[in-house]
Amino acid sequence: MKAGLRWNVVRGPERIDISLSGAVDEFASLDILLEELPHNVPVRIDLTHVDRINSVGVRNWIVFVDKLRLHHIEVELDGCSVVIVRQMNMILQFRGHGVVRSAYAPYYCSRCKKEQLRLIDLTVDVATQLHAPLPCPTCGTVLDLDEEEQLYTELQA
Amino acid sequence: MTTEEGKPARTRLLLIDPDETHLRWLARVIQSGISEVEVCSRTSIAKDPDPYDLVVMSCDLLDTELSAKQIMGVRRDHPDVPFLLISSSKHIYPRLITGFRDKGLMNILARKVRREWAPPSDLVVTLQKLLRPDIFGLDKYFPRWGMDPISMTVRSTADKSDVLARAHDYAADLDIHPRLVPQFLTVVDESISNALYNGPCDEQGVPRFAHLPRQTTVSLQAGEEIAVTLRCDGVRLGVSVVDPFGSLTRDTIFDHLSKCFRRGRDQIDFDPGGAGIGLYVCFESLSHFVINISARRRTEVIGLIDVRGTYLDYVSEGKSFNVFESQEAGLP
Repeated sequence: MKAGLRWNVVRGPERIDISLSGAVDEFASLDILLEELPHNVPVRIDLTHVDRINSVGVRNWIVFVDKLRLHHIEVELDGCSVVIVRQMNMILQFRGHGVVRSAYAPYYCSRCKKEQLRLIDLTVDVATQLHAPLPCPTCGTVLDLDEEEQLYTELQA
Repeated sequence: MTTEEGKPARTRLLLIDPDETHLRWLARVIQSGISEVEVCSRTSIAKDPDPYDLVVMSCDLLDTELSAKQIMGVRRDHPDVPFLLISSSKHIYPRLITGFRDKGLMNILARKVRREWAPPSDLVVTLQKLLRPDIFGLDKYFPRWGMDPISMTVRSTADKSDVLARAHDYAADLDIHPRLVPQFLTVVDESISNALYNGPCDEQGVPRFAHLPRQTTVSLQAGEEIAVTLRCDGVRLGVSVVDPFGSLTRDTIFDHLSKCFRRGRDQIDFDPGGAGIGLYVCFESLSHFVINISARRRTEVIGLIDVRGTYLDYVSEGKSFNVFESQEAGLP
């Protein structure tokens, strides 16, 4: 089991790219990450590799995003993992002032017992992307979406 | 329940289901699974003033609002009687507890599981636990003989990460859908944190650790250890977390769940201590969530995940949720 939350920060000319990975829990030191970020510079946070979040982690995340707002930092959320998509559905304040740009949808091959992820661009039609055929790379079976479709359509709202 | 002569008292059970075929099946399950029971079956929800010991209502109307009104009509006719709702709608329970604030609505069973009628064993176990004082134990939900459970003990905050690592390895080795593993870990995590921080109280009943940030290490005294048990039978993956405090109350459960289901600005607690969404997270992460309470003696949180299908099967199914209370005698 991977422990803790890790991050990588890449500073661009107009934006800072942050990628998070691991678990967001009571030990996630998001305040330390916050100290690395200058005020007024937009950030894009990649959540592809966030694989678990607990209740105190949810609160830490909300507080972190709210501090970004107070520092006048615009937030884009990219590659939201399936775990994050669920939280956005459950917790009203989870995305804060962040704009969700893309999220991963899971597809599952019951034959090979393997999951495939598809990155859904939330700036264009979601349903078309979700329903586009996705073959299993191992057996070729066309995979079914393995999550509730409405979670993704609601992200766009 | 016993009579003055010491014989088991006959239980009068009102059973309502508009689907006559399902009603007959439920009645058969109850008659064969519960001793000394008189089942009064009805397909209609017409007012029935007779006294009952237990009311079981099964319905699956597509219209959540109409369903909720019918259920609450039956509840109002029998306000002081244990009530079990059987419904496949995963929207009905949040609607009921946010809309009607009835703390007697703490028992719901999924009507269908994997597009078939739910297993009779769950109904029998739930009714037995509503009728008897013996409510504790994960084994009641695992009738199949075979796999031995894994048992662990938590004495301090430091033990939690070890238990989570072991729970991860246990679940990951089961060849279940990979996405169910983090769901299971979340429930183990939340249940242990709740027992460790919110369970312990002083002699006046004041919580000892509830106000502390969850990264603060706390240690339990001898005799206060939390017991964690993991179990799987190929159908369900389960965890039981038992603390010897019994401080979780029906009111706390109700208040936390209804606050979270409303999804308002007060959903998260921002004071030091827990975030106030642990029970909600468990509810949302489980196929079947059970809380057993013996006030000031012990609390058991049981989480069950149906591991047979895809992740979509698991998230689309109706949920079961039960709160049982017992007055235990002779426990330390």
